[in-house]
Amino acid sequence: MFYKKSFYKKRSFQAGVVLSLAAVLPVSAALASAQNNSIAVGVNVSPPTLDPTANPAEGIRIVTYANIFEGLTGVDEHGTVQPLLAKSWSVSPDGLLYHFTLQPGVRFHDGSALTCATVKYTFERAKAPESLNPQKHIFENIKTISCPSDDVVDISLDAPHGSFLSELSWGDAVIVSPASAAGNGQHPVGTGPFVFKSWKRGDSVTLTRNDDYRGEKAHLSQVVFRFYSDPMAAANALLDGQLDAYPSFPAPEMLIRFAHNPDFVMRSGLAPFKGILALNNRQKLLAQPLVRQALAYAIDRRGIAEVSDVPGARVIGSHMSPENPDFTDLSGVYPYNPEKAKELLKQAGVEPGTRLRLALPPIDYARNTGEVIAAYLEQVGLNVTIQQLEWPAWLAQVFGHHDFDMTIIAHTEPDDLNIYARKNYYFGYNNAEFQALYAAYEKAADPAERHALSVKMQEKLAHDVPNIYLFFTPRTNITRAQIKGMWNNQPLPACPLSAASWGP
Amino acid sequence: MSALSLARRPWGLSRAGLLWGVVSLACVLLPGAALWVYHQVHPFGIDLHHRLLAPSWQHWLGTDPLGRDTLAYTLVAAVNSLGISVVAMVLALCAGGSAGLLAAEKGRRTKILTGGVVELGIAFPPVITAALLVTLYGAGMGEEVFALAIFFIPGFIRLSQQAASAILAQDYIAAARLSALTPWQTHMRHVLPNMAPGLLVQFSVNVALALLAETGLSYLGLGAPPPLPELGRILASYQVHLFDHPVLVVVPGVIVVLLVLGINMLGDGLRDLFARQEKTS
Amino acid sequence: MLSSVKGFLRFAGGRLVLLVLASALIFSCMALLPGDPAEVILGVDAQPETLAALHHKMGLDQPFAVQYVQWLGRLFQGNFGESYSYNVPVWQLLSERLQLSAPLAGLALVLAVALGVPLGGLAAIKRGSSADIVLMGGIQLTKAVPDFWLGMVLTGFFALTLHWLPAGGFAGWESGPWPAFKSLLLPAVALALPQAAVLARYTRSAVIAVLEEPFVLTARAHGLSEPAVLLRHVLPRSLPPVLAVLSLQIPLLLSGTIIVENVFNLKGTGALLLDAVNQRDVPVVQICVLLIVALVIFEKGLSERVENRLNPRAHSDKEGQGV
Repeated sequence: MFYKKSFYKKRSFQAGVVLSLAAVLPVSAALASAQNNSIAVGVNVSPPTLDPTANPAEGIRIVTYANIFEGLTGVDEHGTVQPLLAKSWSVSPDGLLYHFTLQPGVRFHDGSALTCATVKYTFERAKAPESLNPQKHIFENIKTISCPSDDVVDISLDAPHGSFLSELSWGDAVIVSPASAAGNGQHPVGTGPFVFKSWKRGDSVTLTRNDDYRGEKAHLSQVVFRFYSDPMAAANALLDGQLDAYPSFPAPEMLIRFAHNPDFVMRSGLAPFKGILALNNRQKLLAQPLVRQALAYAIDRRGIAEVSDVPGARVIGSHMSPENPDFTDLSGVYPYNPEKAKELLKQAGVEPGTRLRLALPPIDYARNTGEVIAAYLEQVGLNVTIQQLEWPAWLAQVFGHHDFDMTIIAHTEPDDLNIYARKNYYFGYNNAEFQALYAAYEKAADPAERHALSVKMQEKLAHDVPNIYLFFTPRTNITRAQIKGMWNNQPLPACPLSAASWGP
Repeated sequence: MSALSLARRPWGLSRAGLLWGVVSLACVLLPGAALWVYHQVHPFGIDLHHRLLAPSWQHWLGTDPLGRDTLAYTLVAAVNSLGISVVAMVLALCAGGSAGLLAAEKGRRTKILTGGVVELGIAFPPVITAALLVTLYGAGMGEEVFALAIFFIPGFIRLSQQAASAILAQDYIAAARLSALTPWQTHMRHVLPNMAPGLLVQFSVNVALALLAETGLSYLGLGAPPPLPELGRILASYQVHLFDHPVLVVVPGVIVVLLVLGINMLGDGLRDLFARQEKTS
Repeated sequence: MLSSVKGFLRFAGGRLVLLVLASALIFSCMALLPGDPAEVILGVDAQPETLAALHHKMGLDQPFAVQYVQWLGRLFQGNFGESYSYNVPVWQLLSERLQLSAPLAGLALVLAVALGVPLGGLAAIKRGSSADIVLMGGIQLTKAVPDFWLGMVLTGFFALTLHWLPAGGFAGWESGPWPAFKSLLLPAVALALPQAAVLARYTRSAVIAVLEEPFVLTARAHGLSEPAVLLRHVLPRSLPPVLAVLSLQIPLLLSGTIIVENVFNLKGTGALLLDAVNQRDVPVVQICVLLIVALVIFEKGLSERVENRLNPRAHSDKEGQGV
């Protein structure tokens, strides 16, 4: 229905797509898009709604973050916090009072103005009991919000919180207008450089340039995000000219098709990706450090990183990926050594043939590495049963009921060592020493001290192996050779396109 | 019976078809079965240092992305996939056949009931049945067999009901009933033997269809979990190599075609054979 | 006339009961499945209060039977409900997806008939000749090819090597009829070829059966030209069994698209349904399955009636699902 309404408006751009579909040579396809000054971007996950303040789905953030919606603070490609809707701020010495000054003249796409009242409304809405905000804890720590004037916001916190400014840059904390907040799920209205145009659910979202944007306007007049659940289909779409860019290309086996193709440029970017074999630390067997160490020795993680076919994939030794400034390379703590693994298992009194279940979520890297990991564990005498679960079942069984032995999953949140301090988290790591370290880290304000504590926590995890840390894979960005200005790194789920353009 | 009335081919051609069917099945199943037995004892290992090797004397079609011999792995997968389909169809045949017989024998109510079941069963999308079963019990061989069987039961019910009704209306059945035979004996001696050819032909047609459906389900990830090799799952995981190692995509596909073709030709040949017997007797 | 109205009412009434039964079946299946739709929406970091709030909003805090009765009540008022994951009316989602799926199924059906019927007829007329043997061989081969594999191979060849057709995705009708048609062509071929083979096979035997009947000889003896005999006498008589097979294929085209949609990255009703099962989007699953079931059983009932009309003598003598 929705897309019938926009039928006529859509014409002009779709003509470009027609040309590129009909084009025999990918080059002419690119030219067709270039003349039209639009871009089609491939995305792996289709968003269920378009409101990042009410749903944690990654697809929402890729489409809307910094394109449609903006927060008080933003991040750059390197994950550094930058001014966005707030042009400046100051923090009181006790870390309890934040004083923001808003950018002047900011307007939402529906014409309503951004004032302190809008900010107050946004955060109070996120904090409310009926709020579905995925990161409610950011706002629950807010004591009061006051508006000394229209462009000044004072926020006071209940307890000091070192990461408050960086959390305000997340998609969950974008500023919404009271006039449109209720409809953002279907028709998002923000302050960003692009305006929402249309959405074919499951298929694509189209945005157009916001010509009334306050600062430098976007270069592209139109952006289409297309969603691909099948890696093969994604690769095909890029090859045959339906797409101009694919920021997190999902089919590493097909990279050779692009590597020597002058029409495309391939770049490797960083993202907080930690692929782990998560262990249920509540399980009697896996509660023993000896057994967990044996598993770490038993798996040829270097081999697995190579099999991933992703250039730049590497073994990690702790719950931290290399793009993080606090990263310490601990990948050598338990090198591949099946003999040692057998010895440790024997020492721990584990009988050969002991059964372990490996629950796999429906994600390619999990399904692919699952088979390999099972084979390695069988080599040291364990008997592994693979359970392929689909997403809701995985969430319920592994995450909800903790009814699992092992699972493969990637944690993609930045700075998430805190999950090891939560003893109720799904893998159930309950270690007083680590919890003390984390508490100290939370309290610390001095950057050097924080870094030292972070390294200590990483080391603790690397030796204790509550989970087996498998690999980090950089994201592979493929774009047509002429496209400039897209993010290579992805410090958080996002694909900001205001600086993107077609070069000569 | 319409299944038999389709037989309008010269007998020489039917015999050639039968031969073809046997040969194409044998091509896959003989080495497949041998390898299957061998790999029950020596499971396929994973050898990451010898992945995606080119064809050689040691590995006739090279190795797959996890370093297994492509040909051996695919053949064993073929045996597994066919096995699953056959077991599912045996289940469906037993359940559907007896339900149809019962419906033909019993009164109007049973007929309406089975008619409803048949309609619902045919209308229910098989992928959804499989997806529901898999989410309910987890992906596994048993669930896959069950999902396939459910999908094919209605067809068997309908066929066996039609066949049994036709036979039950014959004079010799009435005669048999008048004699001292119990209903059970009547069925075993007169009804079942006369239904068998039709059901058997349907069975062979359905095994071929079930094999196609099985590869589809396991392609979507609704089949048995690894390490059990299955044709659909290997196709799903090899498809990304269509351009750099086309063998990986072509071989499993060709093996499916050979199997389905073989079964269909065998089925057609059998049907012609029965038709000839019917004519001569 | 009256009896036919009565007959129709009875036919429709029986189907309605069947549909309600089907809906109860699906509803219980979805309730039995592990996993909670609210949990799926809120993801891994959901807090218990948030989850409870969403449960209440979605009406999941009520007993299962109450949920079902409420749903059924709304359905009879013409309210199809709202998708859990997309928060829009199910009907809107469906109508978006049908713009792709209906033409795709239609195109596949037309292709299957346009290929299968003439080829089958040709094989029948030339039966026993080498052309017949080649055709029958081709039919056997086509029947044996898995549609998704055919899809992969067709894409690799026509889209990525020759660049004649798009490799997947749907251009949308707003981009004009030609690009939209082009993007549906390969998937329609992948869907249609195996069905065309089945159809050709049945057409061949149906036409042969008619050709062997005495009246064909009579017609020829009366000096009618061969094309006239075929068109006027043979074709109408061989239609009913072909229609019967076709009516069994339509459900397969409707529900069998899921795998082909996956291969071609088409977001049709098949993809919608599969995603909905995987996200526990109960309202969408309910309506989709119900619509498919309804379409199939009504289509079957109607085609049986048409068949009887065409050929009152023929009894419903069909081969299970032998397609």
